Amino acid sequence: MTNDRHEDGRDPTVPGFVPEWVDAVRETYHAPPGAPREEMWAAIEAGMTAASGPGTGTDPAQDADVDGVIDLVGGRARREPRPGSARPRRLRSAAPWAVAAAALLVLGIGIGRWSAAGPLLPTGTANAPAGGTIAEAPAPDGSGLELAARMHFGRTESLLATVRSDARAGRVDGSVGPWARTLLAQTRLLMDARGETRDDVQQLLSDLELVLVQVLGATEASGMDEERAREELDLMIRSLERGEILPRIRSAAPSTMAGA
Amino acid sequence: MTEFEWAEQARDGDERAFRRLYDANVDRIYRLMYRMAGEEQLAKDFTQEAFLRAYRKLDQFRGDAKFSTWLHSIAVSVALNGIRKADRHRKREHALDDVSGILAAAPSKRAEPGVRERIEEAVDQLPDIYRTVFLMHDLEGYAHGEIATSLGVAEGTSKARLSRARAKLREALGDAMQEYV
Repeated sequence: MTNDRHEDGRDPTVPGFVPEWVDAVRETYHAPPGAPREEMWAAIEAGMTAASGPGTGTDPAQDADVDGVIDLVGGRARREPRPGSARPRRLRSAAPWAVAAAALLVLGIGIGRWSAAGPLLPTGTANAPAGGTIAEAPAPDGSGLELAARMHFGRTESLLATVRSDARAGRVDGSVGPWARTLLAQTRLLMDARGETRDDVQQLLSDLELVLVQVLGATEASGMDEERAREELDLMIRSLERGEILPRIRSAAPSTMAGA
Repeated sequence: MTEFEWAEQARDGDERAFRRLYDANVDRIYRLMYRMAGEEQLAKDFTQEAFLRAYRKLDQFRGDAKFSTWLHSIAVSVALNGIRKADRHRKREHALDDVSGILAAAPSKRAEPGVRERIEEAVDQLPDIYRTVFLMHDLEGYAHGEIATSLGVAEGTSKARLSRARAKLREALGDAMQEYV
């Protein structure tokens, strides 16, 4: 390791910054203990066995990192699947759907921004009463953004209903991970339209973001750390119930839109 | 034998070669994960996840960078995403738990924090992009070149982020710094 920590010594852009001060932080801030090598290796080895060989992570949906800084170094990703690699069937069918849905969302947001003269609904209605549903809010204005949000809610409801049903049966289906990841990315895209959507829609999106992260956590842990997967599922169920998320989604996405 | 050769062997299914890569890198990765997470369980989870992802992606490693650098880019990504998830869980749990209990406990916990506590709190408050560079460079001694490659940014960006991190710390700590001067 090349240590150039003192190359710049006293940082000229920060007069008065004292290296000794940093030394004090180094001693105490999250000071790491020794690495539990064998314990971690046992878990990694189990995961390697489950992965059925190196190089099984070439699935773009699996590799896609929503927040991501991954895959920036080393090789350029080979996107063609390895011969014989088992790719979940649901994922194959989800990929074109995901592209179409993302395109529709972007289009919806674009139309919404172009057409909206202000917030999605009049600002006077923005503060929905606590515990209220979106159905109690005034009727939507039919903008592209509203349409995109409604379709998104419909699809998210399908995912959450599937996951909740699996969870009640004590299962975690790892193949819903890419589905959840796509919906999470779209949720965040819609959250970025803050100011053009109602506060209660934003609140629902924010709650959905958390739940989708929990679904992702459960699917990622599934097969490697069942205890953690169950824990994530428990958290998700609690979030769903406490936030009354499914009823709120249903009121936001009428059944006619759910399958759109 | 070089790490690149071990990686090639591991890619061909030799688990012992991957174990060698693990042994050569685990201490440094774990230290960094612990610095970033501040919790043993999270540090273990992130370390394990980083190695597993590296194993699954071995066929993408072409040796353009050192294996350890490639591994660090994966590990830092795992940690940043994991910390965000953990933060969201914590925030939600705090909101749902007994708020009055938290409020009641807060004053005594926060009474007269020592300089070190203030320093640590200030580091915790740094935005991720600054905090990561500060931890890697100032606390763990990584070179700017390595940090830049791990984060996928230019070396100058790494230096600028460090400078900004220090400035933010100094700003946040104010007179507490004088006690160290």
